[in-house]
Amino acid sequence: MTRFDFANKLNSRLYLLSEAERRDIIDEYIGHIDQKMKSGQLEADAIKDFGDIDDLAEEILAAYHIDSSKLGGKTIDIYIRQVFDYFGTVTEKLLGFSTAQLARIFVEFVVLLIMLNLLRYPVSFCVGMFTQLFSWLPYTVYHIIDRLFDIAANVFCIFLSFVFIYQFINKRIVHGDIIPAPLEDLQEKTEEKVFDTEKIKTATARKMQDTAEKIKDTSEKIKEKSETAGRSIVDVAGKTGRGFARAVDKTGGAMKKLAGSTGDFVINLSIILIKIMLFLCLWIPSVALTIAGIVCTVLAIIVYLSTGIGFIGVCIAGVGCCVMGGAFTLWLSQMLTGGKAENA
Amino acid sequence: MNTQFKKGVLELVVLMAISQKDKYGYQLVSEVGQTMAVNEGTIYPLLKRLVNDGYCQTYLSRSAEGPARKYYRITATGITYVTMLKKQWLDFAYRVNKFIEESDINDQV
Repeated sequence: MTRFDFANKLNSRLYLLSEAERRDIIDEYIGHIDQKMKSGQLEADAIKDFGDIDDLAEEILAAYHIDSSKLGGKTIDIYIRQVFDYFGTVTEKLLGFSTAQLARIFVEFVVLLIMLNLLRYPVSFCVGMFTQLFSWLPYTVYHIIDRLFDIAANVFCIFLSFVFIYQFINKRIVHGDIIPAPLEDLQEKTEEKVFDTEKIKTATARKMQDTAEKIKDTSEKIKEKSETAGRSIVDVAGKTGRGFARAVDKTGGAMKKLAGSTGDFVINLSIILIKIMLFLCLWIPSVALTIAGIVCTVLAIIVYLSTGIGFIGVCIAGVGCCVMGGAFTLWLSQMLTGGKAENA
Repeated sequence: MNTQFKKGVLELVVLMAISQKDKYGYQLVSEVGQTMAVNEGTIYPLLKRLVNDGYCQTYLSRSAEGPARKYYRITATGITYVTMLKKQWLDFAYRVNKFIEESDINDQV
């Protein structure tokens, strides 16, 4: 993790604070990291000394007397941000691997998928055996039970696959300590990462200066032959060199700014999109379920009262739908809006 | 050392460090780090809280190398507060020590 990543992560976690406050805090941390790097520590180590970034953000918020746990701080926004952070780390790690390591991870992943696929057979076998216990029931009931168990088995397998894949990514990619890279390679990489943009910038500037100095040397030779002409060339060379360095500096800054704002925009856009999707796919059906449940219950009660036919079963099902749909709707609305309303 | 111990005393130590001389963040962290092993991350939030509560002020000052640094200076309320904290701590430490000594004697008898 570079200090820019660190700053971005901290920034997203302190979204409750004003921009000026956030900038102030982050500047101080970056200054601290810079100072440690000057005294010879590696960038990654300096960042690691701050400990867990979530704990850190919580402590900073506590300094403003904000209790993030009571604020409904774990709203959907934070979850989505965490997911983004996670994928960011995974991609960053993947980019850092050598081709041989990538190939190995790929093969392992394929093996894992095959094994997960094979896992379905014993599970469906067990479920099949269990369903047989109900074969004495009337066919329709048996059929429904069979179906339900089938769905449950599928859900179980999918859940298990997710857990395994998550574990695999964590172990092999995020922590990556199972397959260590060759040492020289590693050292080179960390060293490269430490200075990153700064290094490139200074290097380019230095090259420009070198070129300028070379031109200066050449011009000094010319100077011996004709002093006036030489002096003017020295001036021009120096000016060009300086102008070049300044231009490189400026473009670098602009690029960084552009990248930052685009990243923010993409994250915000996807948060909105995911919220809309959640609304369309979950909230509307659960409201519909609640309404259907209420209608069913009322109908069942009317039929029961007028004809005396025992529709208590339908009644119970209706109430069940009501309660489940209602609870789900409430939970979703709280997830989508609750956190924000409280924050404001 | 027990983290619960540290949490309480950290505020006193940091305020004492600033009251001797104005200091900037990195300087404070390394100085406090010599007295007790603390997570570096926890000192900055503490400083922020001290500023928010009016016990310290910050000002920017140019440094010989690199960008301007943010220095922390103790305020009048801060001095009153740290005097009180110090008194409380000394009194508390005295009582605890006395208690430990007494219970040690009881153990021997």
